[in-house]
Amino acid sequence: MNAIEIANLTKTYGAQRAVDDVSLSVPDGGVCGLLGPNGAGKSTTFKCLLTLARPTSGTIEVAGAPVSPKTFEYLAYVPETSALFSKYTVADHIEATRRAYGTFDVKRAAELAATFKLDSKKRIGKLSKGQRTAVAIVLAFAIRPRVLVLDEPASGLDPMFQRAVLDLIIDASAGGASVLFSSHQIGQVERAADSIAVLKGGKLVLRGDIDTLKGDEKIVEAIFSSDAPSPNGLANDPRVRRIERSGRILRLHVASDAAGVANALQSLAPKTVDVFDLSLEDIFLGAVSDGVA
Amino acid sequence: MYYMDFLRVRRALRTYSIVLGCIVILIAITIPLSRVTTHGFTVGIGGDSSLGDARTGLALLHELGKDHSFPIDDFATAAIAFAILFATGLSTSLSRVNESALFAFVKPTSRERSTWVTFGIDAAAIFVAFLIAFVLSLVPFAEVGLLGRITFDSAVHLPATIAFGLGIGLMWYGMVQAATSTLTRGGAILGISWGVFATMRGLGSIPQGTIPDSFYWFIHAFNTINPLVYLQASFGDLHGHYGSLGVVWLVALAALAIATFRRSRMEV
Repeated sequence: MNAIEIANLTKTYGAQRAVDDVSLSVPDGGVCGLLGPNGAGKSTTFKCLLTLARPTSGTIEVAGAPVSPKTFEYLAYVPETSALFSKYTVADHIEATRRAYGTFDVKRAAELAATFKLDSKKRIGKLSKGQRTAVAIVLAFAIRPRVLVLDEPASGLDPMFQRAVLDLIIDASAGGASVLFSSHQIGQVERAADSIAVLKGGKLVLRGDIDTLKGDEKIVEAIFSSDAPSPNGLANDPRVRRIERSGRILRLHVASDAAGVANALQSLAPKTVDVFDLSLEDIFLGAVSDGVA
Repeated sequence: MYYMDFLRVRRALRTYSIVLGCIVILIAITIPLSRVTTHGFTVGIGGDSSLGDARTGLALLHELGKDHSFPIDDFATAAIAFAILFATGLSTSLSRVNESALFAFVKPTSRERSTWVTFGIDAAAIFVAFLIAFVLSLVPFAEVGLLGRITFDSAVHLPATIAFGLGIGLMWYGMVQAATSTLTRGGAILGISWGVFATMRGLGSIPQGTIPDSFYWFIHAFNTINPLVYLQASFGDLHGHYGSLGVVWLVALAALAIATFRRSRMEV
Protein backbone atom coordinates (compact mmCIF):
# COMPACT_ATOMS: atom_id res chain seq x y z
CA MET A 1 0.00 0.00 0.00
CA ASN A 2 1.20 3.48 -0.76
CA ALA A 3 1.60 5.92 2.11
CA ILE A 4 0.54 8.78 -0.14
CA GLU A 5 -1.54 8.36 -3.28
CA ILE A 6 -2.43 11.40 -5.36
CA ALA A 7 -4.52 10.65 -8.43
CA ASN A 8 -5.36 13.13 -11.19
CA LEU A 9 -5.17 16.11 -8.86
CA THR A 10 -6.24 19.40 -10.40
CA LYS A 11 -6.52 22.67 -8.53
CA THR A 12 -7.63 25.84 -10.22
CA TYR A 13 -7.78 29.40 -8.91
CA GLY A 14 -10.11 31.20 -11.28
CA ALA A 15 -8.74 30.63 -14.75
CA GLN A 16 -5.32 29.60 -13.50
CA ARG A 17 -4.51 25.90 -13.18
CA ALA A 18 -2.08 25.77 -10.24
CA VAL A 19 -1.98 21.98 -10.39
CA ASP A 20 -3.00 20.17 -13.55
CA ASP A 21 -3.87 16.47 -13.49
CA VAL A 22 -1.01 15.43 -11.24
CA SER A 23 -0.69 11.81 -10.12
CA LEU A 24 2.06 10.62 -7.83
CA SER A 25 2.56 8.20 -5.03
CA VAL A 26 4.95 7.57 -2.18
CA PRO A 27 5.27 3.94 -1.14
CA ASP A 28 5.42 2.93 2.50
CA GLY A 29 8.88 3.81 3.77
CA GLY A 30 9.73 5.64 0.57
CA VAL A 31 11.19 9.11 0.17
CA CYS A 32 9.94 11.15 -2.77
CA GLY A 33 11.44 14.48 -3.73
CA LEU A 34 9.03 16.90 -5.32
CA LEU A 35 10.96 19.24 -7.57
CA GLY A 36 10.02 22.17 -9.71
CA PRO A 37 10.76 25.80 -10.36
CA ASN A 38 9.03 28.47 -8.26
CA GLY A 39 5.32 28.53 -9.05
CA ALA A 40 5.36 25.00 -10.41
CA GLY A 41 2.57 23.91 -8.05
CA LYS A 42 4.53 22.13 -5.32
CA SER A 43 3.08 24.06 -2.38
CA THR A 44 -0.43 23.87 -3.83
CA THR A 45 -0.05 20.11 -4.16
CA PHE A 46 0.98 19.95 -0.51
CA LYS A 47 -1.96 22.14 0.55
CA CYS A 48 -4.42 19.91 -1.30
CA LEU A 49 -2.81 16.86 0.28
CA LEU A 50 -3.20 18.39 3.74
CA THR A 51 -6.81 19.60 3.17
CA LEU A 52 -5.64 23.20 3.42
CA ALA A 53 -7.01 23.66 -0.10
CA ARG A 54 -9.86 21.82 -1.80
CA PRO A 55 -8.92 19.99 -5.00
CA THR A 56 -10.93 20.99 -8.05
CA SER A 57 -10.79 17.34 -9.09
CA GLY A 58 -8.85 14.22 -8.30
CA THR A 59 -8.40 12.12 -5.21
CA ILE A 60 -5.87 12.05 -2.40
CA GLU A 61 -5.33 9.25 0.06
CA VAL A 62 -2.91 8.83 2.92
CA ALA A 63 -2.39 5.31 4.25
CA GLY A 64 -5.25 4.13 2.06
CA ALA A 65 -7.86 6.56 3.34
CA PRO A 66 -8.97 10.09 2.50
CA VAL A 67 -7.26 12.73 4.62
CA SER A 68 -9.19 13.52 7.81
CA PRO A 69 -8.27 15.00 11.21
CA LYS A 70 -7.33 11.48 12.28
CA THR A 71 -4.67 11.40 9.54
CA PHE A 72 -2.78 14.12 11.38
CA GLU A 73 -2.22 11.81 14.32
CA TYR A 74 0.60 10.27 12.28
CA LEU A 75 1.28 12.87 9.59
CA ALA A 76 3.56 15.83 10.24
CA TYR A 77 3.98 18.84 8.01
CA VAL A 78 6.65 21.48 7.78
CA PRO A 79 5.48 24.42 5.66
CA GLU A 80 7.69 26.46 3.39
CA THR A 81 7.07 29.65 5.36
CA SER A 82 6.96 29.93 9.12
CA ALA A 83 3.42 29.48 10.38
CA LEU A 84 4.22 29.52 14.07
CA PHE A 85 2.70 31.93 16.57
CA SER A 86 5.12 34.83 16.68
CA LYS A 87 4.10 36.02 20.16
CA TYR A 88 4.79 32.70 21.85
CA THR A 89 8.02 30.98 22.75
CA VAL A 90 9.61 27.84 21.38
CA ALA A 91 8.70 26.12 24.66
CA ASP A 92 5.05 27.17 24.24
CA HIS A 93 4.97 25.54 20.80
CA ILE A 94 6.56 22.39 22.13
CA GLU A 95 3.98 22.25 24.92
CA ALA A 96 1.08 22.92 22.55
CA THR A 97 2.27 20.14 20.24
CA ARG A 98 2.82 17.77 23.15
CA ARG A 99 -0.78 18.31 24.21
CA ALA A 100 -2.06 17.75 20.67
CA TYR A 101 -0.25 14.46 20.00
CA GLY A 102 -0.22 11.33 22.11
CA THR A 103 2.95 10.21 20.34
CA PHE A 104 4.92 13.37 21.11
CA ASP A 105 8.40 12.48 22.38
CA VAL A 106 9.50 15.19 24.81
CA LYS A 107 13.03 13.83 25.09
CA ARG A 108 13.47 13.76 21.34
CA ALA A 109 12.12 17.32 21.09
CA ALA A 110 14.74 18.45 23.61
CA GLU A 111 17.47 16.63 21.68
CA LEU A 112 16.39 18.14 18.38
CA ALA A 113 16.11 21.62 19.90
CA ALA A 114 19.69 21.18 21.13
CA THR A 115 20.80 19.97 17.69
CA PHE A 116 19.47 23.15 16.13
CA LYS A 117 20.74 25.26 19.05
CA LEU A 118 17.29 26.65 19.80
CA ASP A 119 16.65 28.71 22.92
CA SER A 120 13.31 27.42 24.14
CA LYS A 121 12.57 30.64 26.03
CA LYS A 122 12.80 32.80 22.91
CA ARG A 123 9.69 34.08 21.23
CA ILE A 124 9.19 32.90 17.66
CA GLY A 125 9.03 36.53 16.53
CA LYS A 126 12.59 37.02 17.74
CA LEU A 127 13.98 34.08 15.77
CA SER A 128 15.60 34.18 12.34
CA LYS A 129 13.88 32.54 9.35
CA GLY A 130 16.17 29.54 9.63
CA GLN A 131 15.53 29.15 13.35
CA ARG A 132 11.78 29.23 12.77
CA THR A 133 12.16 26.50 10.19
CA ALA A 134 14.21 24.58 12.75
CA VAL A 135 11.40 24.90 15.32
CA ALA A 136 8.90 23.55 12.79
CA ILE A 137 11.24 20.64 12.07
CA VAL A 138 11.67 19.89 15.78
CA LEU A 139 7.89 19.83 16.26
CA ALA A 140 7.35 17.66 13.17
CA PHE A 141 9.95 15.03 13.99
CA ALA A 142 9.22 14.91 17.73
CA ILE A 143 5.80 13.34 17.14
CA ARG A 144 7.58 10.43 15.42
CA PRO A 145 5.24 10.56 12.41
CA ARG A 146 4.66 7.72 9.96
CA VAL A 147 4.20 10.19 7.12
CA LEU A 148 6.17 13.40 6.69
CA VAL A 149 5.30 16.19 4.27
CA LEU A 150 8.08 18.74 4.14
CA ASP A 151 7.91 21.85 1.98
CA GLU A 152 11.44 23.24 1.61
CA PRO A 153 12.45 21.89 5.02
CA ALA A 154 15.99 23.26 4.83
CA SER A 155 14.94 26.72 3.73
CA GLY A 156 16.95 29.42 5.48
CA LEU A 157 19.10 26.96 7.42
CA ASP A 158 22.86 27.16 7.34
CA PRO A 159 24.72 24.25 5.68
CA MET A 160 25.39 22.47 8.98
CA PHE A 161 21.71 22.40 9.88
CA GLN A 162 20.72 21.54 6.31
CA ARG A 163 22.80 18.43 6.76
CA ALA A 164 21.02 17.74 10.05
CA VAL A 165 17.65 17.96 8.31
CA LEU A 166 18.86 15.61 5.61
CA ASP A 167 19.99 13.14 8.25
CA LEU A 168 16.61 13.38 9.97
CA ILE A 169 14.81 12.56 6.71
CA ILE A 170 17.07 9.61 6.03
CA ASP A 171 16.75 8.45 9.64
CA ALA A 172 12.96 8.72 9.56
CA SER A 173 12.84 6.75 6.33
CA ALA A 174 15.12 4.09 7.78
CA GLY A 175 12.69 3.87 10.68
CA GLY A 176 9.82 3.15 8.29
CA ALA A 177 8.40 6.64 7.79
CA SER A 178 7.30 7.78 4.35
CA VAL A 179 8.44 11.20 3.23
CA LEU A 180 7.29 13.59 0.53
CA PHE A 181 9.45 16.66 0.44
CA SER A 182 10.29 19.53 -1.83
CA SER A 183 13.57 21.32 -2.06
CA HIS A 184 15.49 23.62 -4.33
CA GLN A 185 18.66 21.91 -3.10
CA ILE A 186 18.86 19.15 -5.66
CA GLY A 187 21.87 17.64 -3.94
CA GLN A 188 19.74 17.08 -0.84
CA VAL A 189 17.02 15.41 -2.85
CA GLU A 190 19.57 13.20 -4.57
CA ARG A 191 20.94 12.06 -1.21
CA ALA A 192 17.67 11.52 0.61
CA ALA A 193 15.10 10.57 -2.01
CA ASP A 194 14.67 7.29 -3.82
CA SER A 195 12.17 8.71 -6.27
CA ILE A 196 11.33 12.12 -7.67
CA ALA A 197 8.42 13.90 -9.24
CA VAL A 198 9.06 17.05 -11.24
CA LEU A 199 6.37 19.68 -11.66
CA LYS A 200 6.41 22.43 -14.22
CA GLY A 201 3.59 24.89 -14.74
CA GLY A 202 1.34 22.74 -12.57
CA LYS A 203 1.90 19.63 -14.65
CA LEU A 204 3.85 16.54 -13.72
CA VAL A 205 6.62 16.38 -16.33
CA LEU A 206 8.74 13.61 -14.88
CA ARG A 207 8.28 10.94 -12.27
CA GLY A 208 10.24 7.90 -11.33
CA ASP A 209 12.89 6.12 -9.40
CA ILE A 210 16.13 8.13 -9.37
CA ASP A 211 18.36 5.18 -10.24
CA THR A 212 16.15 4.23 -13.17
CA LEU A 213 16.02 7.81 -14.43
CA LYS A 214 19.79 8.07 -14.22
CA GLY A 215 20.55 4.64 -15.59
CA ASP A 216 19.56 5.02 -19.21
CA GLU A 217 21.00 8.40 -19.99
CA LYS A 218 24.54 9.86 -20.24
CA ILE A 219 25.88 13.30 -20.95
CA VAL A 220 28.45 13.92 -23.62
CA GLU A 221 30.09 17.28 -23.04
CA ALA A 222 32.36 18.95 -25.57
CA ILE A 223 34.35 22.13 -24.90
CA PHE A 224 35.53 24.27 -27.78
CA SER A 225 38.20 26.98 -27.98
CA SER A 226 35.61 29.43 -29.33
CA ASP A 227 31.79 29.43 -29.32
CA ALA A 228 30.42 25.92 -29.64
CA PRO A 229 29.30 25.15 -33.20
CA SER A 230 25.87 23.81 -34.13
CA PRO A 231 25.86 20.03 -33.87
CA ASN A 232 24.01 19.82 -37.18
CA GLY A 233 23.29 16.18 -37.94
CA LEU A 234 23.38 15.13 -34.31
CA ALA A 235 20.23 17.15 -33.60
CA ASN A 236 18.20 14.50 -35.42
CA ASP A 237 20.24 11.53 -34.18
CA PRO A 238 17.87 9.08 -32.42
CA ARG A 239 20.53 8.47 -29.75
CA VAL A 240 20.42 12.16 -28.72
CA ARG A 241 17.56 13.23 -26.48
CA ARG A 242 18.47 16.86 -25.94
CA ILE A 243 21.17 19.34 -26.83
CA GLU A 244 22.33 22.30 -24.74
CA ARG A 245 24.68 24.92 -26.13
CA SER A 246 26.13 27.53 -23.82
CA GLY A 247 29.15 29.60 -24.93
CA ARG A 248 32.01 27.21 -25.57
CA ILE A 249 30.17 24.22 -24.15
CA LEU A 250 28.07 21.77 -26.13
CA ARG A 251 26.23 19.25 -23.97
CA LEU A 252 24.30 16.32 -25.42
CA HIS A 253 21.92 14.14 -23.39
CA VAL A 254 22.32 10.72 -24.91
CA ALA A 255 19.95 7.80 -24.49
CA SER A 256 22.37 5.13 -25.76
CA ASP A 257 25.82 4.64 -27.30
CA ALA A 258 27.42 7.64 -25.59
CA ALA A 259 30.86 6.58 -26.87
CA GLY A 260 29.62 6.63 -30.46
CA VAL A 261 28.13 10.11 -30.03
CA ALA A 262 31.41 11.30 -28.45
CA ASN A 263 33.28 10.00 -31.48
CA ALA A 264 30.86 11.76 -33.81
CA LEU A 265 31.52 15.03 -31.97
CA GLN A 266 35.23 14.79 -32.71
CA SER A 267 34.42 15.91 -36.25
CA LEU A 268 33.62 19.36 -34.84
CA ALA A 269 37.20 19.67 -33.50
CA PRO A 270 36.49 20.29 -29.83
CA LYS A 271 39.27 20.88 -27.25
CA THR A 272 37.90 18.09 -25.05
CA VAL A 273 35.04 15.58 -25.09
CA ASP A 274 33.91 13.79 -21.93
CA VAL A 275 31.12 11.38 -21.06
CA PHE A 276 29.41 11.78 -17.67
CA ASP A 277 26.80 9.88 -15.73
CA LEU A 278 23.61 11.83 -15.49
CA SER A 279 23.13 13.71 -12.20
CA LEU A 280 19.76 14.49 -10.69
CA GLU A 281 20.38 18.12 -11.50
CA ASP A 282 20.76 17.19 -15.16
CA ILE A 283 17.55 15.18 -15.00
CA PHE A 284 15.73 18.06 -13.35
CA LEU A 285 17.02 20.70 -15.72
CA GLY A 286 16.23 18.44 -18.62
CA ALA A 287 12.67 18.05 -17.41
CA VAL A 288 11.98 21.73 -16.80
CA SER A 289 13.95 23.28 -19.67
CA ASP A 290 12.05 24.54 -22.68
CA GLY A 291 13.78 22.40 -25.24
CA VAL A 292 16.82 22.20 -27.44
CA ALA A 293 19.19 25.16 -27.27
CA MET B 1 -4.11 24.40 19.56
CA TYR B 2 -6.09 24.73 22.77
CA TYR B 3 -2.94 25.50 24.71
CA MET B 4 -2.28 28.52 22.49
CA ASP B 5 -5.87 29.67 23.08
CA PHE B 6 -5.30 29.31 26.80
CA LEU B 7 -2.08 31.34 26.60
CA ARG B 8 -3.83 33.98 24.53
CA VAL B 9 -6.75 34.53 26.91
CA ARG B 10 -4.44 34.39 29.92
CA ARG B 11 -2.39 37.19 28.40
CA ALA B 12 -5.56 39.17 27.56
CA LEU B 13 -6.95 38.72 31.07
CA ARG B 14 -3.65 39.80 32.58
CA THR B 15 -3.64 43.02 30.56
CA TYR B 16 -7.31 43.61 31.31
CA SER B 17 -6.76 43.06 35.06
CA ILE B 18 -3.81 45.43 35.09
CA VAL B 19 -5.82 48.17 33.36
CA LEU B 20 -8.83 47.73 35.65
CA GLY B 21 -6.56 47.42 38.67
CA CYS B 22 -4.89 50.71 37.76
CA ILE B 23 -8.30 52.39 37.46
CA VAL B 24 -9.33 51.06 40.86
CA ILE B 25 -6.04 52.10 42.45
CA LEU B 26 -6.46 55.54 40.92
CA ILE B 27 -9.94 55.82 42.41
CA ALA B 28 -8.72 54.46 45.74
CA ILE B 29 -5.97 57.09 45.83
CA THR B 30 -8.25 59.90 44.66
CA ILE B 31 -10.87 59.38 47.38
CA PRO B 32 -8.64 60.10 50.42
CA LEU B 33 -6.77 62.81 48.50
CA SER B 34 -10.07 64.52 47.75
CA ARG B 35 -11.01 64.47 51.40
CA VAL B 36 -7.74 65.86 52.61
CA THR B 37 -6.78 68.36 49.97
CA THR B 38 -10.24 69.78 49.48
CA HIS B 39 -11.43 69.96 52.98
CA GLY B 40 -8.64 68.92 55.26
CA PHE B 41 -10.64 66.41 57.26
CA THR B 42 -11.93 62.89 56.95
CA VAL B 43 -15.63 62.29 56.84
CA GLY B 44 -17.17 59.20 58.44
CA ILE B 45 -19.20 58.08 55.50
CA GLY B 46 -20.24 54.85 57.11
CA GLY B 47 -21.96 56.43 60.11
CA ASP B 48 -25.19 58.39 60.33
CA SER B 49 -23.85 61.50 61.99
CA SER B 50 -22.33 63.44 59.16
CA LEU B 51 -23.85 62.06 56.02
CA GLY B 52 -25.93 65.11 55.35
CA ASP B 53 -22.91 67.34 55.70
CA ALA B 54 -20.49 65.27 53.77
CA ARG B 55 -18.28 67.60 51.76
CA THR B 56 -15.66 65.42 50.28
CA GLY B 57 -15.44 66.79 46.78
CA LEU B 58 -16.93 63.61 45.38
CA ALA B 59 -20.20 64.14 43.63
CA LEU B 60 -21.29 60.68 44.65
CA LEU B 61 -20.97 61.48 48.35
CA HIS B 62 -22.47 64.92 48.04
CA GLU B 63 -25.62 63.32 46.78
CA LEU B 64 -25.78 60.61 49.38
CA GLY B 65 -28.72 60.58 51.65
CA LYS B 66 -29.09 58.61 54.86
CA ASP B 67 -31.16 55.92 53.15
CA HIS B 68 -29.25 55.78 49.89
CA SER B 69 -28.45 52.26 48.78
CA PHE B 70 -26.69 50.59 45.90
CA PRO B 71 -28.46 47.64 44.22
CA ILE B 72 -26.10 44.78 43.46
CA ASP B 73 -27.48 44.84 39.90
CA ASP B 74 -25.72 48.16 39.28
CA PHE B 75 -22.35 46.60 39.98
CA ALA B 76 -23.13 43.72 37.66
CA THR B 77 -24.19 46.14 34.92
CA ALA B 78 -20.97 48.12 35.27
CA ALA B 79 -18.95 44.92 35.18
CA ILE B 80 -20.85 43.78 32.09
CA ALA B 81 -19.81 46.93 30.25
CA PHE B 82 -16.17 46.08 30.86
CA ALA B 83 -16.76 42.43 29.97
CA ILE B 84 -18.30 43.49 26.65
CA LEU B 85 -15.26 45.63 25.93
CA PHE B 86 -13.11 42.62 26.73
CA ALA B 87 -15.27 40.39 24.51
CA THR B 88 -14.78 42.68 21.52
CA GLY B 89 -11.04 42.52 22.19
CA LEU B 90 -11.15 38.73 21.81
CA SER B 91 -13.44 38.78 18.80
CA THR B 92 -10.65 38.48 16.25
CA SER B 93 -9.14 35.39 17.86
CA LEU B 94 -9.90 33.14 14.87
CA SER B 95 -8.31 35.52 12.41
CA ARG B 96 -5.21 35.67 14.60
CA VAL B 97 -4.95 31.90 14.52
CA ASN B 98 -5.42 32.03 10.75
CA GLU B 99 -2.01 33.70 10.49
CA SER B 100 -0.67 30.37 11.74
CA ALA B 101 -3.13 28.20 9.80
CA LEU B 102 -0.38 26.10 8.21
CA PHE B 103 0.55 25.08 11.74
CA ALA B 104 -2.83 25.08 13.46
CA PHE B 105 -4.92 23.39 10.76
CA VAL B 106 -2.76 20.30 10.41
CA LYS B 107 -3.49 18.91 13.85
CA PRO B 108 -5.54 15.83 14.71
CA THR B 109 -8.65 17.87 15.46
CA SER B 110 -11.35 19.00 13.06
CA ARG B 111 -11.53 22.69 12.32
CA GLU B 112 -15.10 22.77 13.60
CA ARG B 113 -14.09 21.32 16.95
CA SER B 114 -11.05 23.54 17.35
CA THR B 115 -13.18 26.58 16.45
CA TRP B 116 -15.77 25.78 19.11
CA VAL B 117 -13.06 25.12 21.67
CA THR B 118 -11.69 28.59 20.87
CA PHE B 119 -15.19 30.00 21.38
CA GLY B 120 -15.54 28.12 24.65
CA ILE B 121 -12.21 29.33 26.00
CA ASP B 122 -13.01 32.90 24.94
CA ALA B 123 -16.48 32.70 26.52
CA ALA B 124 -14.98 31.46 29.77
CA ALA B 125 -12.47 34.31 29.67
CA ILE B 126 -15.26 36.83 29.07
CA PHE B 127 -17.07 35.50 32.14
CA VAL B 128 -13.86 35.73 34.18
CA ALA B 129 -13.43 39.30 32.90
CA PHE B 130 -16.93 40.03 34.16
CA LEU B 131 -16.12 38.58 37.59
CA ILE B 132 -12.88 40.56 37.82
CA ALA B 133 -14.68 43.81 36.98
CA PHE B 134 -17.50 42.94 39.39
CA VAL B 135 -15.12 42.32 42.30
CA LEU B 136 -12.94 45.32 41.51
CA SER B 137 -15.98 47.60 41.30
CA LEU B 138 -16.63 46.85 44.97
CA VAL B 139 -13.16 47.94 46.10
CA PRO B 140 -13.72 51.75 46.07
CA PHE B 141 -17.02 51.24 47.92
CA ALA B 142 -15.28 49.10 50.51
CA GLU B 143 -12.63 51.77 50.95
CA VAL B 144 -15.17 54.48 51.81
CA GLY B 145 -17.19 52.10 53.96
CA LEU B 146 -20.17 51.83 51.65
CA LEU B 147 -20.26 48.06 51.28
CA GLY B 148 -23.06 47.96 53.85
CA ARG B 149 -25.18 50.11 51.58
CA ILE B 150 -25.25 47.47 48.87
CA THR B 151 -28.67 45.87 48.70
CA PHE B 152 -29.59 42.48 47.36
CA ASP B 153 -33.33 43.04 46.81
CA SER B 154 -32.77 42.94 43.08
CA ALA B 155 -30.46 39.94 43.24
CA VAL B 156 -33.26 37.79 41.88
CA HIS B 157 -32.73 39.50 38.53
CA LEU B 158 -28.97 39.15 38.71
CA PRO B 159 -28.66 35.94 36.65
CA ALA B 160 -30.85 37.40 33.90
CA THR B 161 -28.90 40.66 33.95
CA ILE B 162 -25.63 38.77 33.65
CA ALA B 163 -27.01 36.48 30.95
CA PHE B 164 -28.28 39.48 29.00
CA GLY B 165 -25.06 41.45 29.34
CA LEU B 166 -22.75 38.59 28.52
CA GLY B 167 -25.09 37.63 25.68
CA ILE B 168 -24.60 41.10 24.22
CA GLY B 169 -20.85 40.65 24.52
CA LEU B 170 -21.02 37.25 22.82
CA MET B 171 -23.33 38.65 20.14
CA TRP B 172 -20.77 41.30 19.22
CA TYR B 173 -17.95 38.79 19.55
CA GLY B 174 -19.81 36.32 17.31
CA MET B 175 -20.60 38.81 14.59
CA VAL B 176 -17.00 40.00 14.35
CA GLN B 177 -15.86 36.34 14.35
CA ALA B 178 -18.33 35.57 11.54
CA ALA B 179 -16.94 38.47 9.50
CA THR B 180 -13.27 37.73 10.18
CA SER B 181 -13.11 33.95 10.57
CA THR B 182 -11.44 33.48 7.18
CA LEU B 183 -9.21 36.55 7.31
CA THR B 184 -5.74 36.96 8.73
CA ARG B 185 -6.22 40.58 9.73
CA GLY B 186 -9.46 41.09 11.59
CA GLY B 187 -8.58 44.16 13.62
CA ALA B 188 -9.88 46.59 11.02
CA ILE B 189 -13.26 44.83 10.88
CA LEU B 190 -13.50 45.05 14.67
CA GLY B 191 -12.76 48.78 14.52
CA ILE B 192 -15.33 49.26 11.77
CA SER B 193 -17.92 47.35 13.81
CA TRP B 194 -17.72 50.01 16.54
CA GLY B 195 -18.32 52.77 14.02
CA VAL B 196 -21.14 50.97 12.22
CA PHE B 197 -22.98 49.87 15.38
CA ALA B 198 -22.68 53.31 17.00
CA THR B 199 -23.82 55.09 13.83
CA MET B 200 -26.77 52.76 13.26
CA ARG B 201 -27.83 53.03 16.88
CA GLY B 202 -27.79 56.82 16.53
CA LEU B 203 -29.72 56.70 13.25
CA GLY B 204 -32.27 54.46 14.95
CA SER B 205 -33.58 57.45 16.92
CA ILE B 206 -34.57 59.34 13.76
CA PRO B 207 -38.39 59.47 13.63
CA GLN B 208 -40.22 57.70 10.84
CA GLY B 209 -41.19 60.04 8.02
CA THR B 210 -38.13 62.25 8.26
CA ILE B 211 -36.07 59.85 6.15
CA PRO B 212 -37.08 57.55 3.26
CA ASP B 213 -39.10 54.58 4.54
CA SER B 214 -36.76 52.01 3.04
CA PHE B 215 -33.81 53.59 4.83
CA TYR B 216 -35.80 53.81 8.06
CA TRP B 217 -36.73 50.13 7.95
CA PHE B 218 -33.25 49.11 6.97
CA ILE B 219 -31.89 50.89 10.03
CA HIS B 220 -34.42 49.26 12.30
CA ALA B 221 -33.88 45.84 10.77
CA PHE B 222 -30.14 46.24 11.20
CA ASN B 223 -30.56 47.35 14.78
CA THR B 224 -32.18 44.02 15.68
CA ILE B 225 -28.65 42.66 15.51
CA ASN B 226 -26.95 45.77 16.89
CA PRO B 227 -25.33 45.00 20.26
CA LEU B 228 -25.25 48.67 21.21
CA VAL B 229 -29.05 48.85 21.01
CA TYR B 230 -29.33 45.94 23.43
CA LEU B 231 -26.57 47.36 25.60
CA GLN B 232 -28.70 50.44 26.15
CA ALA B 233 -31.58 48.20 27.23
CA SER B 234 -29.35 46.26 29.61
CA PHE B 235 -28.48 49.46 31.45
CA GLY B 236 -32.15 50.11 32.07
CA ASP B 237 -34.75 47.95 33.70
CA LEU B 238 -34.53 44.41 32.40
CA HIS B 239 -38.25 43.83 32.88
CA GLY B 240 -39.84 43.49 29.50
CA HIS B 241 -36.56 42.68 27.84
CA TYR B 242 -36.56 38.93 28.31
CA GLY B 243 -37.46 38.58 24.63
CA SER B 244 -34.38 40.61 23.80
CA LEU B 245 -32.32 38.26 25.94
CA GLY B 246 -33.43 35.40 23.71
CA VAL B 247 -32.71 37.37 20.53
CA VAL B 248 -29.26 38.32 21.77
CA TRP B 249 -28.27 34.72 22.46
CA LEU B 250 -29.87 33.49 19.25
CA VAL B 251 -27.93 36.02 17.17
CA ALA B 252 -24.75 35.18 19.10
CA LEU B 253 -25.08 31.45 18.47
CA ALA B 254 -26.07 31.96 14.83
CA ALA B 255 -23.05 34.21 14.28
CA LEU B 256 -20.75 31.66 15.88
CA ALA B 257 -22.23 28.92 13.70
CA ILE B 258 -21.62 31.05 10.59
CA ALA B 259 -18.04 31.70 11.70
CA THR B 260 -17.50 27.97 12.19
CA PHE B 261 -18.98 27.09 8.80
CA ARG B 262 -16.91 29.70 6.97
CA ARG B 263 -13.74 28.60 8.73
CA SER B 264 -14.35 24.94 7.98
CA ARG B 265 -14.50 25.83 4.28
CA MET B 266 -11.53 28.18 4.40
CA GLU B 267 -8.64 27.55 2.03
CA VAL B 268 -5.15 28.53 3.05
